[in-house]
Amino acid sequence: MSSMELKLTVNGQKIKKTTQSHYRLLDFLREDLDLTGSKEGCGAGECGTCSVFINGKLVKSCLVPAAKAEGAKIETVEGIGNPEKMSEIQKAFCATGASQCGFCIPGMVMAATSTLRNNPKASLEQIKEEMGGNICRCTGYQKIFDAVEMARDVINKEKSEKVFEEYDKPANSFIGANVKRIDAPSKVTGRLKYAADMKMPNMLHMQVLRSDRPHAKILNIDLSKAKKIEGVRGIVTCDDVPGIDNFGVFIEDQPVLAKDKVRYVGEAIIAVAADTLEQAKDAVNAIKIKYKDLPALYDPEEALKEKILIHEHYKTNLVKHIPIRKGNTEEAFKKADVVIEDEFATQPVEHAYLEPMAGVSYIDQDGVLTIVSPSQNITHHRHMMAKIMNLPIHKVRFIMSPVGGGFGGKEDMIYQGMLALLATKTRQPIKYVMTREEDIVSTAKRHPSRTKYKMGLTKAGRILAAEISMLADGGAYGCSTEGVMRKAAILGAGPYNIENLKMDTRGVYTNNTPSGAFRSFGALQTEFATESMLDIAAEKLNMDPFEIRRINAFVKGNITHTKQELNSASINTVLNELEKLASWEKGSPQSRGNSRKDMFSKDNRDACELGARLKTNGNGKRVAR
Amino acid sequence: MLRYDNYFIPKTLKEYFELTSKVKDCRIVAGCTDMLPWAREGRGGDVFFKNVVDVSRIKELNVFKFGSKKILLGAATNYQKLFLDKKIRKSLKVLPQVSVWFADDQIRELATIGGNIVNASPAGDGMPAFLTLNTKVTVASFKNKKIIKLKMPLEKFVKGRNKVALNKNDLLVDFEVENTDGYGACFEKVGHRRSLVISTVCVSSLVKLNKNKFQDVRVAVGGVCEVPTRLTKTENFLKGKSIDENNIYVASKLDLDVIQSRSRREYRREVLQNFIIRSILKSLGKTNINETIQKFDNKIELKMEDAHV
Amino acid sequence: MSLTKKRGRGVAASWYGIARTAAMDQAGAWAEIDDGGSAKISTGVTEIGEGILTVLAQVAADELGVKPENVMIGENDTSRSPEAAHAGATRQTYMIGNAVALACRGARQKLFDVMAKEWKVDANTIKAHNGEIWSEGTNYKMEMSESIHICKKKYGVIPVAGENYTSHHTGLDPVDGSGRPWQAYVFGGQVAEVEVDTATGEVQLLGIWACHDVGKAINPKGVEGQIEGGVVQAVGQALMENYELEKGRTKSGSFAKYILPTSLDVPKVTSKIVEDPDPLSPLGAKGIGEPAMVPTSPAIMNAIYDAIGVRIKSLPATPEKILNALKEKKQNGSRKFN
Repeated sequence: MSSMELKLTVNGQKIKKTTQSHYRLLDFLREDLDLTGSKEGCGAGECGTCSVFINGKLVKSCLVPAAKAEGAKIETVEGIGNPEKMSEIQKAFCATGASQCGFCIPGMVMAATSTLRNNPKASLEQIKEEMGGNICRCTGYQKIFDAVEMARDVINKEKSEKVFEEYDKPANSFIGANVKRIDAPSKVTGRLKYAADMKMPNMLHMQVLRSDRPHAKILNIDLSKAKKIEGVRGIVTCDDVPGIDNFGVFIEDQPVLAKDKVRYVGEAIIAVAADTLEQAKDAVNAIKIKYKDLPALYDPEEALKEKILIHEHYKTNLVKHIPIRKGNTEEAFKKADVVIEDEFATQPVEHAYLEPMAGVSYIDQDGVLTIVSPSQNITHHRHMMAKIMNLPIHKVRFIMSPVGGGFGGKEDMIYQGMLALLATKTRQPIKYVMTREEDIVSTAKRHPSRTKYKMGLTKAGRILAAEISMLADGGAYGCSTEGVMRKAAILGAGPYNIENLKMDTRGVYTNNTPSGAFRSFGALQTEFATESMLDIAAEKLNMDPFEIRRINAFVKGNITHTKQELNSASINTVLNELEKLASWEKGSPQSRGNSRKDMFSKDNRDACELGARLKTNGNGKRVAR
Repeated sequence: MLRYDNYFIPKTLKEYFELTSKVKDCRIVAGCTDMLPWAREGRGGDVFFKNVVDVSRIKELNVFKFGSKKILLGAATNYQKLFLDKKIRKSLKVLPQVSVWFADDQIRELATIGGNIVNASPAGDGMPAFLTLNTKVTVASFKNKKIIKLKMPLEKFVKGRNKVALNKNDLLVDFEVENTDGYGACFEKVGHRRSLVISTVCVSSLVKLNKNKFQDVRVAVGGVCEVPTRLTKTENFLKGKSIDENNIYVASKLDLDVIQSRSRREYRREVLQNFIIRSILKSLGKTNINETIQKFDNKIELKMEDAHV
Repeated sequence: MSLTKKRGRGVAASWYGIARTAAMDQAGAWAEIDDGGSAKISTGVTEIGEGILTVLAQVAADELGVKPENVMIGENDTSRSPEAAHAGATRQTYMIGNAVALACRGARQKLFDVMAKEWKVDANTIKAHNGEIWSEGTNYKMEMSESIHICKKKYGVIPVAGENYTSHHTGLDPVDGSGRPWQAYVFGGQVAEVEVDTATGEVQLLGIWACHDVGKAINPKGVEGQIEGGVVQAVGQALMENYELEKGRTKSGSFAKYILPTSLDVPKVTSKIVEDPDPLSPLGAKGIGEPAMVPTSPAIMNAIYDAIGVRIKSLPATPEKILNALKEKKQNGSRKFN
């Protein structure tokens, strides 16, 4: 690998350093200068976690070859401020609660800094437009906008610096108080170290060979060339697993590395550890695999026919069926004034936490196998790992690293097993950081679903009966499918007192990317169908959408769909408060649309017409720089 | 992962040609905003080049010559300059409008107009706008140790999807565009969001009026065909005609067959027609555009029924 | 065919269960009142961005009488901290919050018992808040730091305790699904206001009014943050995100192809928190993480229907789907709408 000498100024310091010729500016900052406040969220200029200033201009440092920065003045988030001395913008981010997982936040702080440097009086629309290149997956952006506006007003002396310290200081109780978020300073300054930011002496880098076939038998693996590559310290396959090789949140059906066959594109087959990331990549590229393609399943309806089996030993593709039966729907439909039937579908969705999967594994001072990773469930991971590694449970240790967004996506133990195998094999620390592309292709998604719905109501809007049947694509492995089906079934008919209910949810195996845990876990899919049905019903019955919901809403003492007595039920309060909050104009969906009078309130944002900065700025002056 | 051994940054055309005639196995880059995302899994994968030559700092590619008739923009001009420059905002109104839809502020600081054209992506936003500016581009090549420059219309330069009229080591040097001060301009684009958008359809239009008549109309479309193109039937129909809804409506139907994309064809066809109408109306610079459009909507509602059968 | 932009509004309601589903749930925590009037908490908590560390600091400070900024929360390490299970199922505030509260009450009792001896008062008269400790109805009052010093040096007591919180759930009957999957439920509702561009089919979500029962809001700003974030994830779900597969291979394998909402795509969110405290747990708090995004997509679809009279039943409602649906509506002449 060739190297070059780079001379430049970083955060006011003159730097002269030999670095890899092919490094991007982001690599140079993170690997050579340990300035890990700039994060790598996507590596392709699509997220903004790596934003830095070059000669005063904000750019995404993953798109800049380090060589291009020769002689330049670079400013990173570490140069903007530190927890002891934060900039106005950083203080405002703390004050409004703009940081959640924190992974996008250094980039956001940079984008906000650039926005206000370019136009200290930027309007909200101009702020949004100029920060449009930075993605946040946690906050919904609102508190970030609040922070930038707060900082702008302080910088312009329109507000006092005191606004940064306006937290609740209650006389009696801290419960219900807006106190200072304790992890905010480390997040807004980039000081917090996520797994990908960690380094250890003698640390090796792991790379993974993944399946490019949806369903195929592995006939032969040729490692001979890979083993000869300089710097390669260990290669592991499924044969290296000492214990019982499977894991999964509900059903343990997934091997650490594919065994005999692959079941989806992106499945891990071989892991390599080498001195450098580049060597590990070269080794992975040098591995040859012979496959025999197998007929594959992509459609859950087809999966139910059981002509092809994804996991032969289960003798079925059905992962889980959850039935709920209450009353007698058939009889109730006969009594209904209106019966509505319809179908709904939802798509697979990626978690898109800004922090790609990453972890470090090592054997600690007590000889304990240790894995540091942003896992959402280290308790369960330790159980599974002990079994996989054939170790007593106290010889396995999981440490949680700060989680750069999870949303359920980091509940699956899909890479920690490989780290453990290589740390055990090489006795050296191992680090693994997925690229965004690798993360997208290999990790679980929200279950895509199809729901058939039949609802019977009285003229007055009471739901007499509902039959709901959801079929979900669980993909190649079980992950959280069982739990997702359960929640979808229990909650799917909504917060409504329905005496006759027939609910079925089914999750099946296919050769698609696995589906797993995702915020709102099945309930999102089935409740979407119910809430759409209620509006369809409201239109048919000429009723207000709030009214039809209130008529059916649970009250304290009602029996739920799973026959549990409710000790409290706030849905009516919630609906009443919401109706007031939104100043809802009553009426049936039939008469609505542009004619309604409750729209265009100040609680809406402006519809986005790009070019806020081509018009005028906050002062009514043309923007000129 | 993109890997290379050497990264060269020549400062003049001469330096560039001397380097590329001497050094074999060169890959030419400018803003790098397409190259680095390309060299990743699912696209180019792990890529190695012996040598990379960065042309973004070549003097001749950074010219900016402003004239009352013609304006010369170096090929390494970045999109953020098109967005921010006051003179451009006045005399080349359509360019800032394209820029604001182009990726985001940070990518625009790097992405060059030359790089965007040389990529020749059917979904590239730059080309339709430059087409409406009657752009001529200059290509430099090196023969017998001499730099030879050739000027050609942009339409000639872009030959197809990812194909341009450049031989090995030739370089796109600059863009000569028409000063369109006094024109109304509009750029319409649709994708799936409002920042970092990839076009499904985009339309660029320029309109000049003479009293109550269209003196000049230029409309170009991107995202729907192999190479973005001017809608000449639409333009010719409107030139000299009076500004009225019927004329615009009739014109909007004349070029819909330019759509070559097989995917989402019907959708693109409908949006294209809507965009042609709307961008012309917006270019007319009516102060209350929504009201105008609403009136337009109501007036031709019936006439349009047949367009979609 | 139309060029104009049309607005509409829609509503949807939702409910959700708190903590692990249809299975016993439990979390443990250790608490110690430390020198200087600070506190150490150790528990298997996972901060995934929702602000749980701040919530636990508030709970501990409140229970122990120390300042929230003086609460240190230890790392989550399966070999060093008590088990508190996973960061999911909207369970951390409910499960770990209550475990920390109970552990703190244990630690506090040790200090209060000592101070009762020191001041010769009934332990029930002792109160502590924000770094001060006092006996109600007396003149006894001192800094927490001083009282902890007395507790350790004079009486040889370190105020430390460990506790766990259990939420009693049962599995579902395999035939009729009956059971007690959770002991606490939350309810929510949202109104959406959209603008549909009938020239392109593009939908802009302009406003969300969100009303959610969270039991008891420990940190209202944190609750708002969860609602705003949940709404925006649902904007992606409702309008643009789609992990597309073709024969098992993804067509959305990068952030250039997998479309996430940007700052220009998100609504203004107006939140209202409803508090219906959980009668079964010490804090009364329930949760908000997952429930926040359940009603958003149906509210948006209902609003689209309100605006243009077409119902999108298959997510996401892409511009193309909207235009196709509009065309179909026109061809069928199905409704008297508009």
